[in-house]
Amino acid sequence: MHAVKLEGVSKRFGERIALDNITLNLESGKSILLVGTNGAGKSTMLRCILGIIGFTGSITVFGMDVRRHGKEVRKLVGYVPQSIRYGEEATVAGLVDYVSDLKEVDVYIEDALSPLGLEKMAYVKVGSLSGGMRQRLAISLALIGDPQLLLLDEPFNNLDPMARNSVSELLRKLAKSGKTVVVSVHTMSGLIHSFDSVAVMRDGRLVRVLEASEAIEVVKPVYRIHIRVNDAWRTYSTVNLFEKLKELHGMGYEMENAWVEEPDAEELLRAIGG
Amino acid sequence: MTSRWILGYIVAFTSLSLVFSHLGIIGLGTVGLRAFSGALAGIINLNLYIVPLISTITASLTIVSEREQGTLEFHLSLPITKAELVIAKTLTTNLAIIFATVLGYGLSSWYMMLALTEVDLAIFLKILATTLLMVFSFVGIGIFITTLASSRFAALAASIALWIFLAMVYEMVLMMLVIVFKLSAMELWFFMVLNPLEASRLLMVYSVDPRMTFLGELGSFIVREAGESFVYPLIAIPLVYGFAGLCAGLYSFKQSDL
Repeated sequence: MHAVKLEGVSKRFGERIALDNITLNLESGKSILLVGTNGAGKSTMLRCILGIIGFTGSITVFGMDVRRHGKEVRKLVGYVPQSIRYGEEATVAGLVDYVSDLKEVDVYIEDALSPLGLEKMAYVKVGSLSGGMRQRLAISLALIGDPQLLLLDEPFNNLDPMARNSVSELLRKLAKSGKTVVVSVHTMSGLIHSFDSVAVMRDGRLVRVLEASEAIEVVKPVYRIHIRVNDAWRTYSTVNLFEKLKELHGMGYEMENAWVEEPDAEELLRAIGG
Repeated sequence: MTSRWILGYIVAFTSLSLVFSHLGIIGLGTVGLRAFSGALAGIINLNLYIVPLISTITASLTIVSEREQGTLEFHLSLPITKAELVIAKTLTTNLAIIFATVLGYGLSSWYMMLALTEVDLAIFLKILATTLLMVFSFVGIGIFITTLASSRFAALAASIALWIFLAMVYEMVLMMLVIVFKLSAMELWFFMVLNPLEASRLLMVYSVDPRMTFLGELGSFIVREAGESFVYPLIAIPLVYGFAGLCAGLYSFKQSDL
């Protein structure tokens, strides 16, 4: 069964074409990375799938037309936007209540927040959370109600490498547990090793859909982890990002200041001739 | 942001209505006027200026603020339709301003209990009901503005411009029309009633003076020609503006992207 089916989907913002006649099928229970440079149309595509912006063409989610049944569709979807904004005065627990009320599910606040380590932040105001914590909160909120489809727009923004590792691990678990997971990224995130396929986008067009193994084969991604040790930077290269990050963390390195250099969408586009 | 406007409104409205009540009461015996009339004239004028302004501004900032702060995407990504969001914003804005208004009226009427008779109380309640009608109509207009506005600044500017037009410029335009086109009394009445603020003012005048003698020749003419039925358009027009604003807001928000 198709979890998401896009047929001839186009979207314009004034003169600019954000999506150009996209046709794409996502099988239920599969995971897909949307890879593209900034302005490729990844975020617009996710918003169209949610039915929160207008478009031409047709999109169905689990067989439901998003234009006609947007509300029902959004009950089955967990969404993490690229730019995460909540009312600054709201508390974390207040947001959990708000989302669970709208999704008509009962959740314990601690259960909703513990997968991403936010349980101690329940009564903290959103305005005082760091960027990384907001990102984790957005993912926690998206998981409320055990959604069948997850749409995550640049979920690694603002996360340090170890937080990114825990989010990746969670996403890999979700992808393997039969959920349909769509993640948009602008770099060849280490997730590619545990996802099923990769859709490459450029300038609103879908350039190609590849099996993840095929994408790995053509790009042969190498990740460079830069860590600050005392006053100097050390660089470690690896093909298995998450294992290496764990190993370095185990060796006692301060990962909060580390950053990861990885192949970006341009490299993938060049490799596939897009 | 919105709550700050509401708080400001509560403070301004309550304190001004108490001041008018107080001035009305101390006028008793010194200039020979009934305390209630003095207070009432002040409160009616206060209503006509402050209530439309605050209702339009508060409603006009609701959705555009969410859009500008980037929180709109979060709300819309949840199982809620755009129509439900607009209706929720309309209801909460109405309730907040109605609460603030009733609070202001409640405190001033409590203060005026010293001087109020049962007849006065009935008049006072009719004016309160008219004020709530005015809140509904201007919240509807504000909701339409908020769905169209590109920024909070634009929404605020549009609300203030509209208020200046309806509260100050409209009457001057009518006077000009009367002079240039020699409008009949009935035509003048028709154009007056088209303005929801003017319709509310006339309804408040009717609450105090059902024969509309305050309006001079025009009032007597309308009562003579239309009888009691002239009141219905005065009630209907603010309702129409409120519903029309809401419907236009629903339509324009549905057509818009984030």
